[in-house]
This record gives sequence, C-alpha cells and structure tokens, in this order.
Amino acid sequence: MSKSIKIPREELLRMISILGEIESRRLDPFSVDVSSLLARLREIIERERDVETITLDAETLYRVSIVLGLQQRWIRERASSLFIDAGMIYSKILGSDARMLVAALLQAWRPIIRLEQISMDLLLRGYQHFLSRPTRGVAMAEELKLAVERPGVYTAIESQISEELRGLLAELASIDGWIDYWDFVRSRGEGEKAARAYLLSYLISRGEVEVRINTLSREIKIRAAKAPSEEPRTTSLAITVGR
Amino acid sequence: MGAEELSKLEKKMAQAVALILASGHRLPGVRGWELRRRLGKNFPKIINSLDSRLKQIGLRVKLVPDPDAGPDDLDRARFYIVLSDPLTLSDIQTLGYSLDELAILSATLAYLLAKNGSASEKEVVEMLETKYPRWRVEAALERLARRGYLARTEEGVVSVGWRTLVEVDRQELLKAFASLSSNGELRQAQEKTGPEEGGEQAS
Repeated sequence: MSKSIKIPREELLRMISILGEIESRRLDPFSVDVSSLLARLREIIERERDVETITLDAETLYRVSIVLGLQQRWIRERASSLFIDAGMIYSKILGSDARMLVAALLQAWRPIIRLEQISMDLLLRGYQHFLSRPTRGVAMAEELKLAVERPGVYTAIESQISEELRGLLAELASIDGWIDYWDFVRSRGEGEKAARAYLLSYLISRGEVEVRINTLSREIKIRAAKAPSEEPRTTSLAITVGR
Repeated sequence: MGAEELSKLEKKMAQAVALILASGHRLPGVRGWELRRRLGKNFPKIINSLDSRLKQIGLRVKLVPDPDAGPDDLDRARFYIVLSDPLTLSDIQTLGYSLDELAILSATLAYLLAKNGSASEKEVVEMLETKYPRWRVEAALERLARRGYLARTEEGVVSVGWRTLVEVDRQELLKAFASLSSNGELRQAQEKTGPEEGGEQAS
C-alpha cells in the first residue's frame, strides 16, 4: 500500500520540478506535452485519493496553468518576431563579420537621450530640500555657549572637574600597589566606566598615575605615582572603552 | 492659437524636456504621473507637440507602457526621448562602445529575441565564442548587463533588459538579420550607411 502511494507521489514531485524549471529558467514551454501530462494526472487522482496526492495534484495543476500561460505568451511573441527562428539567426551570426552585425543593430537601435550633468532645475530642487532639512546641533551649541559665557559658570565647572580628579587619585592611592586598569575603571559599575576612564586619562597625562603595559598579555596596570612625573610624555595610549 | 497660448505651450514643452532629459532618477525617462503633476492633465497634448518639435532635430518622444499595466495607462507609462533616425557606423564612435561590443550586443539581442527574449547564459556564451574569445564575451556581457541591455539571473538565464525594450525595435532587428545574406552582407544597411564607414575599433 505504502509503495503504491509513494510512486505517484514521486511522479507528481518530478512533474512539479520540471514545470517549475520551465518557469524559472524560462525554457521552451512547449518542451512539455501538456495533454499527456493532464491525462496522467487524471489517472493518478482517480486511483489515489489520499490528502497528500490530492495536494500534490493541485500543485501540479497550478504549475500546468502557468506553463499554459507561458505557451500563450510564447506564441504571441513568436508571431511578433516574424517566426524567425534562433537557428537561422545563429547561421546569420556565423556568416557575418562585426561590421555587418553592428549595421543590423543600427537599423533597429534608437538610443535614449539623457542629460547626465546637473541642471538648474535639479540645483533648485536640491537647494529647496537643503532648506527644508531641520537644523542639527546649533541649538545645543548655543545653549552651551551661553552657559559658559555666564560669569562664574566656567570656574564652577573647572573646580568640579578638579574635585573629581582629586577624588579619583585619592581612591587609586588608597590601593596598595598595582591594580588592573579595567578593574579600577569598572569598580563603580558599568554606568561610570566611561567617566572614570576619561578622568583617569587626565591623571595619566599629568603624570599623577603610572601605567605599566604587558604587551604579551595585553594587561594594563596602574597605580598612583608617589610624586607627579616631570618627564615629558613621549608615548600615547589609546584605549577603547566602548559603550 | 494666440501668442499668449503659444508662449504658454512653449514654456510647458521646455518643462517637459527638462523633466524627461534630466529626471534625476537612477533610470532615465519619467513616468506619466510625474508629467501630469508638473504639466497638468493636458500633458499628452504637450507631449505630442514636443514630439513634433523634436522630430525636426532627429529626436522623438518614446512612450513605453508599464508591463504590469495596460497600454492605455499613461500615468504608469514611462516617457523617454530617443533618436528618431538610425545611426550610422561612423556615429558609433561617440557612443563609448567598441565595434566588437556592439557586434556582441547585436548578435546576443537577435538570438534572444528569436528565442522569445531569453536563453541560457551558457548557450549565449557558446554562440558568441564562435566569434570572440570567452574573456571578451564575458566582459562585454557584464558591461551590457550593467547598462541595462541584458538581464542575468542567478539561474544562469540571460534575457533582454529594460533598455533593450526601450531602445531596440524587435521586429526591425530581426528583419535586418533576416536580410543579412549568407556572405554577411546587409544590403539595406549598406545603402544607408555607405561603404567603409567607421573603423574596425569605434571607441
């Protein structure tokens, strides 16, 4: 029983595949004999009435209808191509040189004319679009400028940053010996990581924090300097903190 | 027609030319609805007048209906300005193609059109290899596909591209091929282009 179901199933799947190939690869739709295929479909559906066979049968019928549509289009296009066959074209190509092939094309070719360069109309449209764009960032810059220009604001910001730098240095100095850079930066949680890394970069640049880098293990160790280094900074260190 | 109406028509025609020639889209030409929006509901009349004017200088307006819409749907149709007369072999020097590239285009289009617009790429390459080495054929097919004359699919099928549908008259090309004699002469073409026009390498 299972064998008799399996054979029509495979046959239907093969039919679906062939019909699908004709559609997707745009093969000659007359390469399949639709009438004998429909007769075979009828035979199968009369013999097997299980759900799988009926579903596959419906799918095959759908594919057949597509191929019939392609056949109709094929005939219409063949008529418009004066029934000149590809074999004849092939023989003409073989017997012609490049100049004659081009001369044949020129009989039928009317290239599109198009301006490639910018026109006044396009420039005006571009300018209108530019004007219609919302202004970016200026408002915020204006606010900052106004804030900094207010008396005492800049001094207050500077003293706040200096306080934070002193606090960070004191925290590092309270640690005995070297500490891993990332452990220190993350010690107050991910939220403060970027701010601590930023402030630490100032302390390192000022020579108030010493840095030791193991190039093999990529470890970065830091500690508070006993006295700020007076040596000029000859190297720079780029660290990606991330978000 | 009064002077005022004539001046209005002239202005509208100038607008239509600007729209069609410098549409600013990736593809050339302009849709009917865009012309309607800029020129008003009488845009077909303006386009007709423009067509008559352009014919005087060897150009014409070509309307290509949208394949998914009916031939009467002007809104979805695309309007182009094309040459109205055939080019000659000496003209192709200015087009930026070599004679060999155009020969490959000619042979490929004729072959595809005789096969209802598409064929397997392998078959087309084998056909062209009778005239040119494979590297040259593949380079030319690639360039022609980029220009829109051919379309290639992942399944290895080559078909005529959108530009061919606009620029090439299918029946005219097939007739020209049919009139090629067995020793490769195109009588009609010779009459129009004159003998020995153009060099072997055009660009």
